[in-house]
Amino acid sequence: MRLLLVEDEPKLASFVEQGFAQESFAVDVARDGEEALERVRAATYDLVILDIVLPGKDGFAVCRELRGMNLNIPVLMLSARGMVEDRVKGLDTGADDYLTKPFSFAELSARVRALLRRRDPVRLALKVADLVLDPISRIVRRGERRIDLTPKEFALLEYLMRNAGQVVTRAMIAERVWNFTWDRLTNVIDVYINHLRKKIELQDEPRLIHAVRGAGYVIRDPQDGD
Amino acid sequence: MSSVTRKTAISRTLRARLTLWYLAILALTLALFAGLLYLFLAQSLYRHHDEELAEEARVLAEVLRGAKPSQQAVATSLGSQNVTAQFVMVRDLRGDMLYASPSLEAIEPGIGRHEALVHAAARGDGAPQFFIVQLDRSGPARFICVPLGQPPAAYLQVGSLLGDVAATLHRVGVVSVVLIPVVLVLTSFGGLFIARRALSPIDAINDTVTAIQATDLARRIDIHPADEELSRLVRTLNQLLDRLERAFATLRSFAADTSHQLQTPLTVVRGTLEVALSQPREADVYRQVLRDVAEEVDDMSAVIADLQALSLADAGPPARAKGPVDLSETCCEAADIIHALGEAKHVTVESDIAPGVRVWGDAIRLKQVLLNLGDNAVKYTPAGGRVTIQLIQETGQGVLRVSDTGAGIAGEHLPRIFDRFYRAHSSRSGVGGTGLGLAIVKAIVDAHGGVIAAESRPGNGSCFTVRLPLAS
Repeated sequence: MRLLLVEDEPKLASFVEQGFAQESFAVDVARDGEEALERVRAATYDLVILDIVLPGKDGFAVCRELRGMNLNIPVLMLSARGMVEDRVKGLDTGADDYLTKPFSFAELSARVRALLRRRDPVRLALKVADLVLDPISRIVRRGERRIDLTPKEFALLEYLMRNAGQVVTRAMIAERVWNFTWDRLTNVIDVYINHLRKKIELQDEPRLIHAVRGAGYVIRDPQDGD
Repeated sequence: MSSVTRKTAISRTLRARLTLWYLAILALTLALFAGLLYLFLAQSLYRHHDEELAEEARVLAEVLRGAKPSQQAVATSLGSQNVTAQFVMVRDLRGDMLYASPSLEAIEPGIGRHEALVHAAARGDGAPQFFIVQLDRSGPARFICVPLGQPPAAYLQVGSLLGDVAATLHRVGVVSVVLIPVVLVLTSFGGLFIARRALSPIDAINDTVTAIQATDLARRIDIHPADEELSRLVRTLNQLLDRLERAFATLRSFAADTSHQLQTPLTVVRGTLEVALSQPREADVYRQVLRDVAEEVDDMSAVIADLQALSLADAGPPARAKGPVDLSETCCEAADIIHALGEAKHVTVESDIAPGVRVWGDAIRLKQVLLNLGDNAVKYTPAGGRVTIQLIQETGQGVLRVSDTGAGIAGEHLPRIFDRFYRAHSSRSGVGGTGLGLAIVKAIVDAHGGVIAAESRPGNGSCFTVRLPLAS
């Protein structure tokens, strides 16, 4: 996997580069928008991490041009501005995800992995081990047992299952399931995860939902190993 | 502004414009008045003249009835009459002179061929006509032209000089043309003087406001104009200064508070790192140090995030402009979240939310209000306690109440709990937070035109009440 990081702040670029190198990603760094576009034209990247505030052409403009080039590379935007308007503008210009500074590397890494993973067609029933979720009929079963979930629990489980095998952070869950960000939501998410576990993991059943320390949660088929 | 630029801008000053308008209206009024006066005067003077002429012409026409239209016959017929009009003529239908009063040729030699008089006779009118003729020697004269016989066989023209009438009208005209500009010039000085006097408080206000700097916002405009409009302006400006002074004071203390809030964790980070680096240590110690530092960084991030939320609530267009919000729905969503927070702490959260309560505003920020209040309530309520969220509709208001069975807030803290960075509990009480949660709540409620109040008795829990105007 090869990532292009567009970031003019050397220290920030360096820790992101190091972090991804440890996870065996190849990372190229572009210092401004023009360099980024040149690199994208010259080489193939699996994902672009794009800072909004750049010298010269800003991240919004770069993203628009990338999309104008008809390239389908996932774009993750970084911004120091956490304003809702910026976030909406970022997603409108064609970014796939948006992360506000300050962020932890675990957060960035989880989001990058989620973007890199090929997405399931929305209509397909989701399956992890013997747990099946049908987004259309909104029925959840574990084996033969039918599980009743509240709408929020259902949305949470659906999000976890769409990213089965991938760690999703609490911030990602807050954004996608609760549709807003608030630092105290992390506790709320933990409570909801507990509810889900109680319902889908009876005492004799293998555990599917795992907490990943310092990162978030993952739902995983026990057969797939760690 | 220097006096030079002031002079060049004179045409743009209010007092110059006022004077100019005033003068224009006055000039128009005077011109109209003079014109009408002239017309009425001329009409009444002519009428008097015309009546005399008509009477004389009637008598003469009577005499001439049946007389043959020849110089001789006419002369005989008229000779006996006592005629006062200076000019008496009889003309045939071509306009040629049949008779002229004696000595007429001597007074006015060209009168027989005078174009206007020839034309008046040759036109063939069936009724008497009045007109004015400019005679070469005698000046303007008023004439009446009367047909003789039916159909007319000849025309009798009787005329007299306009002498007095013309002179009177001429004088009136000259006086108007001379006097009006004089009056206008005099009034323009008067107008300018009045405008300057009326507007002089504005100059004074201007000078005072110009002199007020950001550093002496406590100063006020100490001018008391007699006019209602200007005293209202002064009041408005003073109120603006009040608000500015308050905003500046808030900003100043806020900047100080903010740097203090960030300095403390920065000092902790710096100290922790320096001590750790001062000598070689076990890997476990380093790990612990780094974890501590990460925690401090998280705290600082939280402060910055709250500051951002606060500046968003403070600045920008009024939140009410956003649109109608179903507060009931927003409250239900928030109550679910508070419920989960309570569950994590073994605090029972109950909600009683009336449906269909709609207010103007921003749903995301209104949700933040309830989340912050609910989060606080859960935080300060020990396990086993109870938090109640209630939304009701009351005479034009949506009333949101969040109450708890926690420790409550001591009376001395109560007035200050909405202040930025104010904490009723010391930071060692184990309850985290940036000290901005309630300030954010208040800023959002203010931006929505609502009010917030807190009641509490130590040991008996607290109750926060938010009142928001309903969307009508």
